[in-house]
Amino acid sequence: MSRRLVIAILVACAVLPIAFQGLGQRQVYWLFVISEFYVFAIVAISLDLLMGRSGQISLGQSGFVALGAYTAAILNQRFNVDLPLGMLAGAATAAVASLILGFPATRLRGHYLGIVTLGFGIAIDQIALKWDALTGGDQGIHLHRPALFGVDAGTPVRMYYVALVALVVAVLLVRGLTQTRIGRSFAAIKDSEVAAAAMGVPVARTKVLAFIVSAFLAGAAGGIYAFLAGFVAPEDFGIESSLLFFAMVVIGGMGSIPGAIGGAVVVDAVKNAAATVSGLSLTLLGGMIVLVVLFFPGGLKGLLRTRRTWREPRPAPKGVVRQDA
Amino acid sequence: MMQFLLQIALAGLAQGSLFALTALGLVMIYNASSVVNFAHGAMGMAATYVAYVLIARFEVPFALAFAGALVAAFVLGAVVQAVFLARLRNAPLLSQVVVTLGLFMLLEGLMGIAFGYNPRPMRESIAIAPVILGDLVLRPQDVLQLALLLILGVALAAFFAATKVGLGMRAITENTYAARLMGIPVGRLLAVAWGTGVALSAVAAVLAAPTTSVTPNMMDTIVVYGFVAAIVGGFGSMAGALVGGLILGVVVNLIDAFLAPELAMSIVFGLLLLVLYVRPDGLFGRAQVQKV
Repeated sequence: MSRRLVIAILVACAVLPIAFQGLGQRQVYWLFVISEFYVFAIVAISLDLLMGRSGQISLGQSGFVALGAYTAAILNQRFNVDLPLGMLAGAATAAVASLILGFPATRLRGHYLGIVTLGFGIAIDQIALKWDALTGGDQGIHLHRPALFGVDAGTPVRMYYVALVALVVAVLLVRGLTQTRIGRSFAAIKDSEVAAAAMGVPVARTKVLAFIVSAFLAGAAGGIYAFLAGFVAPEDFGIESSLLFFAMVVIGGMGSIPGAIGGAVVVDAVKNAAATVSGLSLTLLGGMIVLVVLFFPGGLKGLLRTRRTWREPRPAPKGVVRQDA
Repeated sequence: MMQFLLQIALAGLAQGSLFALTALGLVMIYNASSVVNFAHGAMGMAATYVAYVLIARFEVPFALAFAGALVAAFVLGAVVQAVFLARLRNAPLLSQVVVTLGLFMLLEGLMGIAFGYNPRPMRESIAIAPVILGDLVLRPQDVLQLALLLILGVALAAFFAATKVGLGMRAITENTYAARLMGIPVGRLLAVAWGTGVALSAVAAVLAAPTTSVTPNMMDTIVVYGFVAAIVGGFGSMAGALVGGLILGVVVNLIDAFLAPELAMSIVFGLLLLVLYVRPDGLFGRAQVQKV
């Protein structure tokens, strides 16, 4: 994406709360919807890191989100822990869980991982419901008003900026990571594990690392979500939401940050727009996934890229003799 | 106590037969096309709605409706293979798995729109007296499930051992490219494998329907246990899937009786991780050498 477009989008996001003041009472709702979307986009990026970059599948990403959210909520409720620390603790808990899950996962053939992560998502959901002494069961947990280094962050506008900044930080982190040696080793094991091993990439360790980073980000997103919503309950983190994150990554086009965010926009919009008819959003998203895989393997990202090739090639800068001329 | 344990084991075997039937279909599809079909349960569920409509609206007798569901399932499986998977033959395996997940969402959503999420009742399938073995009781439903598993298991073994189609499928599992060179109609056999696999899922779904009721997500639990059974059995071995399903049924019933039924699936997955840690290719699987 061009730098100018990115800056334009960022400025638009930054001034959005000002524009929303015209909505009167409804601005609280819309601010929450967009803030929630930013958090979902972080999860989509975390899943894209795993699926799109390192070629591993996770059908239980909401399990990591749930771990982050519950850790933050429990720490906040019992020890009055604040947003930054709660978020980090949530991220750390999710990362530790991914380590436990990731080690056997490295020994599994590709398709087992999807099933094991599916089971993980289901298990976290069941445990959150059952262990009510800790999690409040189906009653959930209410959090205290969030604060950021002693400054109150409990207004919708402030939480909006917290979510936006978190998303930007997540994007920069993942972008930075993909440009390092580690990021390149992710790509290598995605293309061919055997070839990567031959080139000296430690396959098992790299796969677990991708898992850990992905879970860390998803857990951090969960921690922010807990403070944003002010309440966590098991129904927010079921299998359905894992499938939504999965749909975001596939529809956006795997292996691209703008793709993951674009996919999150589409999925979140469909989910909110089709909420009134039960089964409709599932149908639309399932249909989109099938169409994307069959006809647009690059997803949204791929669509944008094809458009670019229609343009005339840029003339070579002055003084440069084109090789093919 | 002993009798209680035996009764649990027996009920477990009956429930496990549903997992085994689902797992058999999964393995059949996996052996033919190397794809783990995440839409497996949803496709069986969709076929169950065919039986439901035949019974509830057209008052067709159960056996005939069952047959109707199987035909529908076979056609659905064959069409999905021919229309979706055949196009993706050269795509990365991840794409093929992703498409089955899309189909899972699509089918559940479509049935949700068409029939709603309220559970619809399915009558008990057969009217025979419960079988009494000493102090143990088998419900008619249990008898039917175990009998069908036995019959289908034997039929599948015979199919792979003695028929030309079965032999062709084994050749495809061994080496698809070589099979094509030998003049085996790979495309047609893949469609048959998918059709048969989905029909097995439909058998499990229709048999489960009196207990679970007919809903868009009626197969979600059963198919996840089917995955587990297939993994325990080595994902590739039909016999392993069958035994894996039966063992899992007993384990789930033991968890329900002595531990926490609400945590059954969590405990099963914990056990699965342990099994995979010790034996990455399942209890009955052979270690596989990955081809480059």
